[in-house]
Amino acid sequence: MGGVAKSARADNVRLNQLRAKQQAAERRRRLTIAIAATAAVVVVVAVLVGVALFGPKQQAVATGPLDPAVYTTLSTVPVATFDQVGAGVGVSNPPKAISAPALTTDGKPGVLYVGAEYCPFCAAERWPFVVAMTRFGQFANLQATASGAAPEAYPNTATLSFHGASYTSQYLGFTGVETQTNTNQPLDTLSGDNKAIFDTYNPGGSIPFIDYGGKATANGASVDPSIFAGKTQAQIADDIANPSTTISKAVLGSANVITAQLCALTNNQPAPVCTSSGVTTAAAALK
Amino acid sequence: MTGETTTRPPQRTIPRWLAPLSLTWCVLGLLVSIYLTYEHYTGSTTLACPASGAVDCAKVTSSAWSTILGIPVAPLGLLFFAVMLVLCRPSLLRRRSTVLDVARLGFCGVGLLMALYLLWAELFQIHAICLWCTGVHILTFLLFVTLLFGLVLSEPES
Repeated sequence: MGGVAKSARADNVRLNQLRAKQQAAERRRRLTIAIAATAAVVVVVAVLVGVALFGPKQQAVATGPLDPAVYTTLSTVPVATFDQVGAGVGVSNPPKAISAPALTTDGKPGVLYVGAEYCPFCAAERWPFVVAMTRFGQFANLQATASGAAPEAYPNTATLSFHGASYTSQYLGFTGVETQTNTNQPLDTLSGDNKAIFDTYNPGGSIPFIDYGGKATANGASVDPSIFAGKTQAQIADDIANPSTTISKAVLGSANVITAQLCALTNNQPAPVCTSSGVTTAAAALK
Repeated sequence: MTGETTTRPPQRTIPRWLAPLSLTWCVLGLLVSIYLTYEHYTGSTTLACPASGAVDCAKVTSSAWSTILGIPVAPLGLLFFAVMLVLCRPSLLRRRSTVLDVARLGFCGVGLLMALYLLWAELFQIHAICLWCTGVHILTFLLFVTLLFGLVLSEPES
């Protein structure tokens, strides 16, 4: 009897030892998995940061003359398309009224644009701005360029440049100043009255800055630069002409707001533009 | 006479550091998320380049990557830490429940994947780092590691 009890106790001890060993092994296995999972996350983060810091860098896009077909698309958007988009979607940061002496250029209400080719927000803003301005006159010698390469935000956003461009209109005068290239080299010089306006009505010094005849200013982009990501000038122009696209809803919506602001300078001339439903609808955004 | 018997759910012994540490990460994450959510809805950031051309937090929080399916990620982070705060209550951490463990670790894992996705967006799409967002990402990682090791080192109550 005693021998059987002893043997059972011994079996119990062995069973407990075996169970403890199994539990320890299971715990080691789970610990290994936990350490591996933690290490995997750390490795992923290290790889991401490493590639960002030491990976291949993007090159800035070369600046050159704008394809005339792109300009034609931008400057011939039908009124019906503008009206269909109206105030648009994804439009922000409308011009704000200021109290300042009238800004004139060649005896006409003047528009002053200050930006830089490297600046992605300037890249975004030029699209609706150019579209709106071509409803009152015509540009010549616009350039095709792109914003700065990474690590600039929204790198290589396709856009236009006012460097070397001119503008002809019976309603408005225009001065465009691009202070730097997309590789941050000095380009146009902001000086004289234009510099005084920039410093007075844009104390933060940020760009893009647009003065509408001394009546209103806009600082910053009115559309999100990310909507242009990966597209060429031609693709962006085609998208603008198609009112069902995200780009068109943003760019033409913003262009309608800018047009409304310009109409305030031209005594609502030309009437077909200034009385169009798209412009009158978008005018509500003006402050 | 009839009596009611209350059966306590199965319990386990958790490491002493698990509850205070996980709650600390949740509370800190919640506070930073509240700040980021407040900034998201009230911040007067403009889509402009500063004169220096430098990049900053505002470019991250105002970028297209700051929303997912139209929902801003800042309140999503707030919701994440609020749910984790509930799931990391000491009484729930001590409860031996596979469903709770999977829910807690799985939800935290989703949060961690989201943090990695946002880190990728910051580094390769926006090309700017927001330190507040990075703080949230680090807290999410710490919470995940704390819960993972806490689960591994927990023992069934004898």
